[in-house]
Amino acid sequence: MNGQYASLLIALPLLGAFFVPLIKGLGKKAIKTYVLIITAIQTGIAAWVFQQVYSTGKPIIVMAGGWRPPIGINLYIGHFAALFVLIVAIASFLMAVFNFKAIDVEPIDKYAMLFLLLMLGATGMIATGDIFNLFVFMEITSITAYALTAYNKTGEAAEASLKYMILGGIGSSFFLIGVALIYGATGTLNMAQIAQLAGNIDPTVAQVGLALIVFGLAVEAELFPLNAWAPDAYQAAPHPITAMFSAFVVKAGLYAMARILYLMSSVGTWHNVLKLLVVMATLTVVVAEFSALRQRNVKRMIAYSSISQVGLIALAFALGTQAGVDAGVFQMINHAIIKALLFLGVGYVAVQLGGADIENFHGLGRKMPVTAFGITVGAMAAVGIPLFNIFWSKLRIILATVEAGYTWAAFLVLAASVVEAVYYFRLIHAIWFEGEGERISESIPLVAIVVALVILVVAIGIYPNYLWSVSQKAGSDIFNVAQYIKNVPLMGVGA
Amino acid sequence: MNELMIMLFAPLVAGFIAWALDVRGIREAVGVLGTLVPLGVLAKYYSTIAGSNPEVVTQTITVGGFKLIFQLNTISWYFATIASLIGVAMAFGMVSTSRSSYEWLFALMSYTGVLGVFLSGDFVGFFLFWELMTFASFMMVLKRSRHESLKYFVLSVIGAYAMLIAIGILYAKIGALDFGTIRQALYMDAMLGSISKSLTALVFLLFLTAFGVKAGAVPLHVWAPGAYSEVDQSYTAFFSGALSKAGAYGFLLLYILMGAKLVAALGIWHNHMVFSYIIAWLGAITVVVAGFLAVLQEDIRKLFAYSSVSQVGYILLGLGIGTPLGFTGALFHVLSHAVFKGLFWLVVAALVLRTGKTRFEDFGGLAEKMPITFAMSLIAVLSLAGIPPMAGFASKWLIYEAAISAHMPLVAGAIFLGSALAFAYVVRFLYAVWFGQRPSDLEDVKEAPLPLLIGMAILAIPNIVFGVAPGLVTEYLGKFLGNPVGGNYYKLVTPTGTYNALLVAVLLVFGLAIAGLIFIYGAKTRRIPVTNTYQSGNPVTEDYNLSMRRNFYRPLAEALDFWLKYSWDRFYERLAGIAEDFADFLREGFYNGNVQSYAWYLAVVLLILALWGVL
Repeated sequence: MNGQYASLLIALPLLGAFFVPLIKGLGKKAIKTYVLIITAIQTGIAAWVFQQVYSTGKPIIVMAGGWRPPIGINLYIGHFAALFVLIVAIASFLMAVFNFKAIDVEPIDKYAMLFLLLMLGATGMIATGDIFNLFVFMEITSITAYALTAYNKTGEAAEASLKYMILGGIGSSFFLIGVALIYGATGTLNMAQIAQLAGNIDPTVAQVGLALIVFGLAVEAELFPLNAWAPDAYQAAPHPITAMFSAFVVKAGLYAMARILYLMSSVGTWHNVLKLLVVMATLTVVVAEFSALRQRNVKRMIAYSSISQVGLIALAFALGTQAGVDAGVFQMINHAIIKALLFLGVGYVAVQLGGADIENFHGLGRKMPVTAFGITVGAMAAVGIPLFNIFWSKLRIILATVEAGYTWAAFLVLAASVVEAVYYFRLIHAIWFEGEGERISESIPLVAIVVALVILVVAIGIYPNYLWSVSQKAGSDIFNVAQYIKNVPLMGVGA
Repeated sequence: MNELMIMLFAPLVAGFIAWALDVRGIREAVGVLGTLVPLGVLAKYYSTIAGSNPEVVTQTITVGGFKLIFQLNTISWYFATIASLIGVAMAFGMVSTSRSSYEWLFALMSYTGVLGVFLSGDFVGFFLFWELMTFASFMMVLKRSRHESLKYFVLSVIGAYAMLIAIGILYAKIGALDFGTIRQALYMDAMLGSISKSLTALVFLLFLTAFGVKAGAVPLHVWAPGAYSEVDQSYTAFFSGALSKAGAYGFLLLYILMGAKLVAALGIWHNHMVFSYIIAWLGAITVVVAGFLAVLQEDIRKLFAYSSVSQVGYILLGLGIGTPLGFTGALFHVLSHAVFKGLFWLVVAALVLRTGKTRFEDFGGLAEKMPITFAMSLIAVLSLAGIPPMAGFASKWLIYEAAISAHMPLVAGAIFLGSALAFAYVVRFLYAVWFGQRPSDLEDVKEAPLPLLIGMAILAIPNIVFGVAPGLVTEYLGKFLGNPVGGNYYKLVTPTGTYNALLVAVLLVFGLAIAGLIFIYGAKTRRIPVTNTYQSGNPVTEDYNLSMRRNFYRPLAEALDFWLKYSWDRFYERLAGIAEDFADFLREGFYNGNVQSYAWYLAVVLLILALWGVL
C-alpha cells in the first residue's frame, strides 16, 4: 500500500469530528459508539503505519497536496511518530470505551467532537514536519483541551479551564514569536531545513528563538514553574479526558520540545538551554512529588504524580545524550500505559462511588476488587518496583543522568521518588487494609481494559527487550538529526 | 545451565500459583515445593563448587538492553544455601501460621529476591533483586502495620537509591555494570587514581548507607524492631535470618569490588585500613547499642528484633576487621546467626500461634506444655548466647580471635560486652517464658503443630552439627580466604588460640549426665516465691515490683536514663514530620490556585532566561 494513506491519520479524526452533528439526533449511545468506531479505525491505521515504518526501517513522508518540502507541508512519520501515533490512537480508543460509563453530561455531541479533535491535535503535533503546522496543531490541541477541561460545567471546572487558557495562551504566543524569529533568520518553516540551516544563523537570534519556543512548549509540557494550571485542569476535566491529558497530550508537547531542541543542536549556546531545562525538569519532579504527599483527592494526587513523571521524561530529554533520549522515550511509553490505567481506575471509582476523595478508596479492595487491583498494580509500577515496566525506564534515566554528569539531579529526583513511594503505598494500604465494603458489580469492558493494561505492565516489566529496542529506534529518530535531514527530500534547496 | 534460572524463579512462580489458586492445602504444598527447589539445585551443584576443581556456574540473559549475569561461585553458593535453608524452614513454619495467600506470594517473592541478590554478577540484576526483596518484605509488613511498613520502606528505598547513584557513578566512570569489569577497573584505578578521592569516598558512603540499612546498622536500624514484629513470625525467621544478610553480603561485595581502590583513596591509619575500620566500628556500635536496647524490651518480638540487629552487627564487625580470619568469623556468623535466629523466630511463631501473647508478663511455665518447642529454644538460646558446643560460639570465637590478632582491643571489648548482653536477654527469655509459675489462661496450651516443628528441626540440626564440627564451615570458607583457620573438622586453630569443639561437646554431655544423675537422685522440691530470683533480700513493694517477667531490667534502664533520652527513632519521626510540613508548604505556596501568581511564574521564568543570558 502507498505510504500516503498515512495522511488518513489526520484526515479521519478531522472528518469524523465534522460528521458528529449529523448523527446527533440518534441519541447519546449512538454518538459514543460513533466515537468508538472512529478511534478503532484510527488505531487500525496507526497499527498499519507502525508496522510499515518498523518493518522497512524508513520513515513515511506524506506531502500535502503533492507539494514537495520545503515549499509544501509534509508529515514526517518516523520511528518516533509511528510509535506515538499508535499510542495516541490506542489510548483514545480505550477512553472511548470509558466514555460510555464516565460521560453523562450533555452536550455529548460537542464532547465527541472535542474528543476527536484532541486526538487529532496530538497526532498532528507528533506527525508534522513543519514548525508552523506544529503551532497550528498545538493550538487545536490546547483549545480543545481548554474546552474539555470546562466540560463538566462546575465552578471548579470553569476556573481550571480559565487558568489553563490564560497560561496556555501566554505560552503559545511566545512560541509563535520564537517561530517567527527562526523563520526570519532561516526563511523556512520546514523542520528538516531549519535543522540544516541552524548552524549558520546568528547565534543570538537562534538562541532567543529556541528559548522562546522552549518556554512556550514548557507550558504544554507541564514544566515547573509553568505547570501550575495542570493539577486543577486534571482534577476538573472529565475522567477519560484526564487520562488522555496524561497519556498523550502532555507527551505531544514534550515531544515537540525535544524535537525542536535537537533540531537546533548545532546552535552554539545550545548547552545553556539544556542546563536550564535540566534545572526546570528536576524542580518539576521535586515540587510535584512533595505536593502530592498530603493530597486527599486521589485524582489530584495522581495528577501530581503524572506531572512529576513528565518532569522525569523532560530531564531525560534535556540530558543531550543518546542514552538520555532513549530512556526518555521508554519512560514516555511506560508512563502512558500506567497513567491510562491509573486515571481509568480512579475515574471509574469516582463515577461509581461519587468522587475521588481518599475516603472512597477505603475498602475498595472489597468493593471493586478488579479495579482496585488495577490501581494497585499501577501504583506499584509508578513507584518503580521491579517486575513492572517503569522500573526499567527509571533505571535507564537515572543511569543516563549520572552518566551525563548531573549527579545532583539524580539525587533530587530519587529523593522525590521516596516521597512518591510513601503516598502511593498509603493509597494501597487504604484500598486493601482499611474500611469495609460490599461488592459492587464492575463493568465488563472496563474490567477487561484494566486487566489488559495490567498484563501489559507486567509483560513489559518481565520482558522489556522488544519495547526497549523500539524505544531506542524512536530515540535515535529524535537524537540523530543528520538522519532526519537526510530522510526529508528537500529538493536541494538551501543545502 | 538453565537450572540457575529455575532455582531463581521457582519460589516466585510457586508464590504466584499459591496466590492465584488460593486453595487450602494446595497453597501450602506449592509453597513448600517452591522453596525446596533452590535447595535441591544448590545441593546438586555442591560438588562443582566445593570439589577439588571448583568451577563457576554462569548464566547470562539480556533484559531490556542490560546483560544480567548470574553466577554460582564459592561465596554466592554459601549465601544462597543459607538463605534456602531458612527459606525451607520458613515455608514449613508458614504452613502452620499463615492462612493468607497474600503472605505466601510475598514471602516467596522475597525469597527469589534474596537469591537473586546473592547470585547476581552485575549491578543491574543486583539492584533489581534488591528492590524486589525490599518490596516483597515491605508488602508483608504493610498487611499488619502501615506505620512500621512505611518506616521500613522509606529507609530501604533511601538505601536502594543511594546504591543506585553509586552504581550510576561507577557506570559513568567505568562504563560497565558487571562485577568482573568493575573489580578489574577499580583495581587498576587504585594505582592510577583517575577517580578522585572525594568521589570514591562518596561512592563508599552511598554503599555504606545502602547496605547499612538492610543490615540494620545503627543508626539506620530503626525500621527493624517494628518490621520484624509486625509480620507473620514464621516469615520473620527468613526476614531476619536471611534477608538482613543481604546487607552483610553487600559489605562483602564492597571489599571484593572496591577494596583496593578504597584503601588507596582513604588510606591507612595506625595499621588499619580506614574504610574497613569505619565498618568495624559501625558493627561494634551496633552490637552494643542494639544489645542494650534488646535487654530492655518487654515484648519477645521486640527483644529478638533488637537482638537480630545486634547480631548482624557482629558480622559487620568481623568484616570490618579486614583480615582473612575476620572474614571467616563474619561469614561463619552469617550461617550461625541465620540458623539460631531463624530458630528463635520459629519458636516465637509457635508461642504466638498457641498463646496469642507476646509480652513476657503473660508467659510462664510453658516448658511442660510445649516440651519440643522448649528443647528447640534451648538450642537456640545456647547458640545465641555463645555457649559451646553450638554454632554461635564457634563463629563469635573466631571473630573475637580475629579482633585480638588484628590489634583491635576496643572492638574486641564490644564483642565481649555484646555477648554479656546477649546472655542477659536470652536468660530472661528462657526463664520468663518456659519456667516459673504458669498463668492460669495458659493451661490449655498445646505443643506446636508438626510443620512448625519440622521447620524448627531443620534449623536446630545445623546449630548442633556446625557447633560440634565447626571445621566443616571454616574449611569451606578457607577455599577463597586462603585457609586462615587450621585444625580439622572438630578443632579450630588460629594464630592466637585453639578451640576443640568435640572435646567441649563430650565434656558438656558428660557434665550434663552427672548433673542429671544428681538431679534425679538428689533433688528435693521446695516452694519459692516468684520474685525470689530477683529481690536478693530486698523487700518487694507494689511500685517497685520486679520479677523475671516484669520490668526485670528496670534498674539498668534507670542507669541508662541519660542515653535513652536520645532516640534515633524519634529523630527520624521528626524528620518525616518536617518533610510532610515542607510538602504542605510547597503545595500551598506554589499551587495556590491564584492565576495571577501563576502568570507571574511565567514572567519570572522569562526574567531568569534573560538573566541567564539566553534571551
